[in-house]
This record gives sequence, structure tokens and C-alpha cells, in this order.
Amino acid sequence: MFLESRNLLRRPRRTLLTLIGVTAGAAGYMTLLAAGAGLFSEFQDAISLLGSDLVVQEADAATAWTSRIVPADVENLRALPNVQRVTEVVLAATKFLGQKYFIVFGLDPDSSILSKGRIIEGRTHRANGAEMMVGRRAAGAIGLVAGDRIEARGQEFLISGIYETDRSILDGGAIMDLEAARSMFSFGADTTLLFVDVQDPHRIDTVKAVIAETLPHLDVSRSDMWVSTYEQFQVVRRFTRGLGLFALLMTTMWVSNTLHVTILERRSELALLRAVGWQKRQIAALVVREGLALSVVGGFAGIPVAMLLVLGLRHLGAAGIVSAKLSPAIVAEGVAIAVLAGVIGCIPPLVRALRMQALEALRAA
Amino acid sequence: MQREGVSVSARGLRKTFDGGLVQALVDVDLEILPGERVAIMGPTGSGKSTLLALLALLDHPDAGALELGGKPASQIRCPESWRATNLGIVFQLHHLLGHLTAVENVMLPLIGKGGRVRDQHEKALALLESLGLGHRADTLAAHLSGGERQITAVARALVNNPKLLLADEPTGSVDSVTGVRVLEILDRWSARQGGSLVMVTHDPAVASWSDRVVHLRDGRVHQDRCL
Repeated sequence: MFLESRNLLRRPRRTLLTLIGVTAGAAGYMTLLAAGAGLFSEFQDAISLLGSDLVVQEADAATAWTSRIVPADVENLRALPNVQRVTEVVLAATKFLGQKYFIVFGLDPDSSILSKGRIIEGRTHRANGAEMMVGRRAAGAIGLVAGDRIEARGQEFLISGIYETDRSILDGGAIMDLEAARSMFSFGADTTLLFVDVQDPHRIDTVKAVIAETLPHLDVSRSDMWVSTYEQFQVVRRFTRGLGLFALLMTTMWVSNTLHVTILERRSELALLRAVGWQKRQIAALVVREGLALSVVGGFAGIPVAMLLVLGLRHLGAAGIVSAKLSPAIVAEGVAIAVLAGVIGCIPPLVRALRMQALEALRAA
Repeated sequence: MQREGVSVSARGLRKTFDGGLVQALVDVDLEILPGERVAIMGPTGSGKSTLLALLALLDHPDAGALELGGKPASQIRCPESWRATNLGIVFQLHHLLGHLTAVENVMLPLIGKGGRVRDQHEKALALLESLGLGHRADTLAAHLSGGERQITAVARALVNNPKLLLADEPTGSVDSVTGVRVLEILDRWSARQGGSLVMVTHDPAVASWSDRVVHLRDGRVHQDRCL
């Protein structure tokens, strides 16, 4: 690394330019993956927090928001053996006080699910009352406090309290009475989702199989698997991964282009090395080692940049939808792919440089 | 270390450019004995630098046979490796790397051959000191004077103890005092190492330092005389 270190350190502008490209690509890749993983885990965490064993929704529903479960199905479920409790949930999204995508949960005030969060201000909403609790993030974003009165979809509501669950998707929305939510979103007596608690935790899969058999028009999943079996989230994950790879492709092109310019500038230098006895493989190794060093440094430099971008995403995601999570696995993947991109980016300009006649390059200089 | 120079034998060398429109060398015959010092002279465009490039295996002749040290050039499978072992080149434009120091530039041929960096540094530094440039060894080449650059370039050509030294206008871009110093270095190397020297020059005074002068005109050997 004697010559490589001198080439990189004594040409700081060229080195910095390449580093910026690799860093930006690595950070972009990590952030996009983190956003996908964050969205996935937000929903998973929210469902896990609520603590039920099974989640039931309409089988033909494209998304949870469009699911409709009629009261007869709820009664049928409650009558099944080993089913301890069935909790009805209305899940809806609406425009609300300037928030374009505000998630509202309709829950019975007596539901044990409500005990999973903390009331940090005011009190729980009352049954059949025109009241709602607002999540901490939503209250902060809109500027609401307990006791405020607001209007939503033509109805006046009292903000009975502010709650906190440490789950962005829950804290970015509101919880209101089940019946009030049904009325507000014209659900009639229907429900969006059902959370099912099983008497014996060892028999969750058995109950799941019974539900699937006796109520085939409903879709049943284990709570801890619900999001992963949900096609939309898989699509989002694939999409964010695709965007990440696109960012890496752009990085590869940037690095390759930068190295291309660099190698064109250095063609007399590389020609000189051949003239003084360096073999092509030695020159190739020199250029690849330089590219590798830049990629490794750029990949690691991408980590703090990605952390900042993730932090920014969290602030932007006021509605609670986006909460990117930069896991060690994503960081490792980002660095590894940045290194790979850097090395691959070296190859096209290097091949061109080695095809060049040494004498031609020396004369051009 | 005494090393015998390599012989050079060229028979009917031809080289054209621009699809045959420009005839750089036409049926050039040239014999150089081991340890001989030969000056190549001739007007601009007479083919001097082209001949030097062929001898350095940096280019291929269109026709003719070239032997270096008794071995046909066409059978030298890795010209880079041959250059690393046998050849030193002093370019008309010194071609130093400006971001490297003088000693690092001299080390370049040694790095190509491998070994410990410390040993390479010591060898390069010792050579620079013997050429009176030790005090500028750690100066970036970009900050050296024209004369210092040329002496550094000569040191780079000599550091591998070549058997054949090719020098293209080694005094062409320096003042007369430095020019004499460069010639003294080449003379001393030739006397001590016994290597063959082929030097392209326009200057008859420089050519007079050699054993033999070959004049080229329009790509042909016009005159070949011993001094």
C-alpha cells in the first residue's frame, strides 16, 4: 500500500470526490433499506404490542383498511373451542386537522389492549362518547392537549387524553370508541380486524387451523407473522430494496465515472509504470487496491450519513408511518455492497487503461 | 556491480504511421555491441525517437527483425518484465510523477520488481546521494527544478542496474551545466557498469561523449561512424 497511500493522500481533491460518491451511495442504500425495514417492523411491533395471538381479517381484502368482518363471524369465532377472547378493532385512515394520513383505531374502552400503552395526559375515552385519545406524536405534530375539542368528519370530539406506546404507528394516530369509529367511518356493525386470544398458548396453531377451516372467507395469521405474510409489506420491502440497489447502481456508475476520469488523467502515469517494468497485473492491482480503499472508507463514512438521514426520516414521518430502523445487518450489507460497487466500478476504466499503448500515453503527456 | 551490456541487432526495421502515410523508419540496420555507447542523431522527424521506442519494446516494428541480447524481440513474451530486468529509459520529458518525492520516483522500477519498501528506499536514496541529489530526495517532484528533475529521471533509469540504457534527448531540456552533469553520470555508469547506451540527441557536443554516432535521415541510416 506504499504507492496507493501516496496516490490517495497526495491527491486529496480527487480522493474526496470519489469518496463523496461512494459515501452518498452507501448512505442512500442503507437509508432506503432502513425505511423498508422500519415500515415493516412498525406494523409488526404495533401488532405484537397489542398482545393477541391471532389476527383475523377478511380473506379477499386487498389491505387491512378495506377488510370488513360482519358481526355473525365475530360470534362464530367466539363460539370456537379454545378461543378465550375476540377483540374487535376498526382501523381507518382519514384526513385530520391538516394530517393527510391520520390513522384512527376504534376500540372498546374496556379492551385489555388499551392497557398496553401509557396515558401521559388526561384519561381514557368513554364508551359511546364523542371522545378520542390521541397518540403522543400526533398530539405533538398537531398541537393538541387533553381537553381540546376538535371537529373530524363533521363531528365534534373531546380529546380525553394523550397516550404513548413507543410505536410510531400507534403514537401517530388516535384511539376512539369502537361504536363511534363505526359511525364515523360508516362501518355499520362491521369490524376491520379481530384480535383473537387463545386459552392455551400451545394451541395457537390448532385454533388457527380451525378458524381457517370453519371460516374460509376470513384470513387468519399468527400475530407475530401477520406483517410478514402481508403482501403489501413484502412489495414495499422489495421496492425499497430495489431503490437501494438503484442507488448502488448510481454509486457504481459515479465511482466508475470518477475513476474513469481519474485513470484518463493518470494514463501517462500508468504508461510510465509499464515503461519502467511494471506488469499489467501489477498496475491492475494498484488501481483496484486504490478503489477498494476508497470504497471501504466511503462505505463506513456512509454509516453516520445514513444515521442522519434516518433521523431526518423519523422527523418527517410525523404521521407515524415512516420510522426507519438502521440495523447492524443493514449497515453491514450497505458497507459490503459499497465495497463491491467500488471494486466493480474500477474495472471498466482499468480495462481501458490497460488496453492503451504505453508509448501513445507517454507521447500524449 | 559490473554487468555486461546487451547487444542490439536490428535488420531491416520498418515502421509506418497513419496507415502507411508516414514512413518513420525504412529498412534500418543497426548493430550495437555490449557496452557500446551509441548516439543517434538526425533532424526532427528522422525517426530517432521511433527507433528508441522499438528498442525499448514500447512499440512493434511493421517489418524487420530485432534482437536484444541475442534474443529475438518477437520471442520476448513479457516486454514489461524484460524492461524491468534489462532496461533503463530516460525520457525526453522526464515523466516524473509530481505527487511523489524524488526518492519515491526513483523507487518506482524497484517497486515493480517487488521486495521490501525499506530496502527499495535505501537503494534509491543511495543512488540519489551518489548523483548529488540526496538533499532533495524528500522533495515532491513537482517542486524540483528542471535540472533536478532530469537527474532524478536518470536515477530512476539507473536504479535497476540496467544492461541497456536508452536516453531520449537526456540534456535537451536542461541548462548546459546540468547537461554536462547528466552526461558525466551516464559516462560514469557506462564505465562502471559496462552497460550499453543508446542516446538520441540533436547536439553534436553531446554525441561526442559516445563511441559511435548513427545519423538518421528520413527514417534511414544515413551515416554510421565511430569516434
